[in-house]
Amino acid sequence: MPANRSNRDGYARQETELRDLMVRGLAGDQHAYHALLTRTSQMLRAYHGRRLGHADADTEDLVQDTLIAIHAHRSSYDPDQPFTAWAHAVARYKLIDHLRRRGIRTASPIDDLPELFDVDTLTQEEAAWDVAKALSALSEPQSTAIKLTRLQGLSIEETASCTGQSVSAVKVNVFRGLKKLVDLFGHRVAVKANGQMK
Amino acid sequence: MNSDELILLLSRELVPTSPKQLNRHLTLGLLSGVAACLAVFGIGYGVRPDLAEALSSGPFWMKWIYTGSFAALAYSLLIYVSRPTIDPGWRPWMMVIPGAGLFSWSAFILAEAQPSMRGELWLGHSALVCPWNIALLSFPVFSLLCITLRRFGAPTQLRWAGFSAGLLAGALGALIYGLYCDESSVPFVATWYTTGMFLPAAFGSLFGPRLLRWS
Repeated sequence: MPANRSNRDGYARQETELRDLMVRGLAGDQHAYHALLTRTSQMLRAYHGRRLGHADADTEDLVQDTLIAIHAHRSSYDPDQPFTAWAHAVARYKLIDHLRRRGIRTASPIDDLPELFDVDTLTQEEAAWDVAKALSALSEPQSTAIKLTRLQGLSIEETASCTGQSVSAVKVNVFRGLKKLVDLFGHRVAVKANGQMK
Repeated sequence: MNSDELILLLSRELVPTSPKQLNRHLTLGLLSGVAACLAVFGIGYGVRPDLAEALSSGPFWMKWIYTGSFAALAYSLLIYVSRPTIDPGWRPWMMVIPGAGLFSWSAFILAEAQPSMRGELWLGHSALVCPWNIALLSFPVFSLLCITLRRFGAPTQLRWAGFSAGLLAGALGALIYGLYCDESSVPFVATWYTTGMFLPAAFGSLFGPRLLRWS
C-alpha cells in the first residue's frame, strides 16, 4: 500500500494519542489504559489476522496472548520511543513464536514495516484480504469481471476488451458474482462487529 | 473469555509501574557480575606486580580505553535491545569506530616495524591464552546479565540481546584482564583482546534465542 501523505499524518496523530494513553496507563490511569488496550487490540487483530487468516481460531487467541504480554511487560516501554513501534515489536515476537511452535518455518524474519501496524493501512489491507478471499469463491470469469470493474475501476467496455468477454457477458458476470458474494458472505458482517469468533 | 472481558480484567488490575525499572535491574545485575568477576580474577590471576609503573604507561591506558569503549557501546546496545524492538538501528555500527581505529594503528605499527620484530609484536608471549582468559573472566557478568534479562527483560531480538550481553561481559572481562596482562603491543591488543571480547559475544548471539526466550 503506498504510504501517501494522509496515511502518514493519520499514523503520526494516532501514535501521539496512543503514546499519551500508554504513559497515563503506566502511571496507573485505568480508564486511559482500557482505551489503549481496546485500540491496540484492533490493530493486533488486523495484524495477526493478515498472517493467520481472520477466521482462524488461533488469531483471537494470539491477540489475547499479545495483550497479556503487553500488559505484563508494559514497564519495558520507553516513553522516549514510539508506542506503535514497541507494540509492533511485541506483536511480531508473539506471532513468530506462535508460528515456530506450530512448526511453520519463516524463512526470514517477517519483513514488515511499522506502517503495516497502522490502523488505517490495516483496515484497507484487511478489506483487501477479505475481498481476495471472497472472490476466490467465484468462477474465473465472474471474479475477473468484478476485480476489473469494482476494484480497478475499469469501465464495462474496457473490461470487455481486456478479458475478451463480450460487454453483456461482463455485465452478467458482475451481477451474478456480486449476488453470489452476498449469499455466501452476508453473515460475516456480524462476526467482524465484536471481534469474537463464532 | 473474549477479548473485551480480558481488556476489562487487565485494566482493573492495573497498578502504576515505572519505565526506569528495567534499567535499574540491568545495572544491578551488571554490578553484581563485575563483583563476581573481580573475585574470580583475584583468585585466578591477581594484579600484575608492576601495576604502579604500568598505570603511568601509555599501553595500559590504550588497553583500557579500547576495552572501555566496547563496554560502553555494548551497554548502550543492551539497554536498547533488552526491551521490545524491531531493529538495533545504528548502535552496532558504532563499534566499527574503535575497531577500525585500533586495527589501522596496528597495521601502521606492523608496517613500520622491522620484519624480525613483527612476530613478537603480534603474538607477544600469551597470544594463545589471552582470548580464553578474557572469555573465562566474562562468564560471571554474562551469566548475571542473562539471569536479569530472563527475569526482568523483554527482548524481542534475542540474538542481539545475547550478543550485547556477551560483548559487555567480554569487554569488562578484558578491562579487568588488563590489570594482570603485561602485553603492551597495539597489534597484540587489536587481535587477541578483540577476539577475547567477541568470543562471549558470539556465544551470546548463538545461544540468545535458547537462553533468553520468554512468553
